[in-house]
Amino acid sequence: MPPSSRPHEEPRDDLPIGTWTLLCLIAAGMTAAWLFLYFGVFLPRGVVQ
Amino acid sequence: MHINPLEQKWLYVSLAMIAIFLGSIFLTAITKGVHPPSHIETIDSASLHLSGEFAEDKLGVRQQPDGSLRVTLVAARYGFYPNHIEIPADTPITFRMASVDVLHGTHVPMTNMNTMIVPGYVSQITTTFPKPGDYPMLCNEYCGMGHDHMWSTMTVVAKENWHGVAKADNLGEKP
Repeated sequence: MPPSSRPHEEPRDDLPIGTWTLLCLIAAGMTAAWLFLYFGVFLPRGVVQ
Repeated sequence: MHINPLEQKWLYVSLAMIAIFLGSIFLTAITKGVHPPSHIETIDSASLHLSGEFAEDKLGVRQQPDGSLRVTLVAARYGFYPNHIEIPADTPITFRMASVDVLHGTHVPMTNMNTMIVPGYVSQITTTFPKPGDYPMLCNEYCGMGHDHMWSTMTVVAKENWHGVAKADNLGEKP
């Protein structure tokens, strides 16, 4: 059986634009959803002490 | 330790999000006094109904000498006593609750009112109800065969329609 012809890939330091876009969308979406639930739903229902 | 650069960037973003979340929680905890109900005060469950603030004639909504409102409730299988209370909206209200028998809980849906009532302890929670309306107050800890029938009602009236309640200054209650 011949050895694998797949060359060893060095990790990239730069991120492809698609990965950046996905990362930003997920991060912004999750942060916005959490902030909405905390400041827009939880706190207006009455502060608990 | 080697971390893949791509994973490292995801890690930084995740940490930044956690910092935003924790920062929001700490900020409101400091500026608005938001924190989970925590109160350690013991009481004799077997005799709490005989005297003191949990005696039958002292239950319900009372105005304290400092003007604040306090609701004193007793939870027992299978109901909350008194069974109905009326309180004003947008006003800090302190609930003090005790159980005469087993573990109970109280939950008012669509509000942040939610705590356990552990026998032998006084549960205390201070909160406000911004929206007037009728709310159910449910037991959310399984307490026996009649648990699903254990609920009472709470009416939140607009502040301008609130007519006040009896003052508690001559009832021998704790301030």
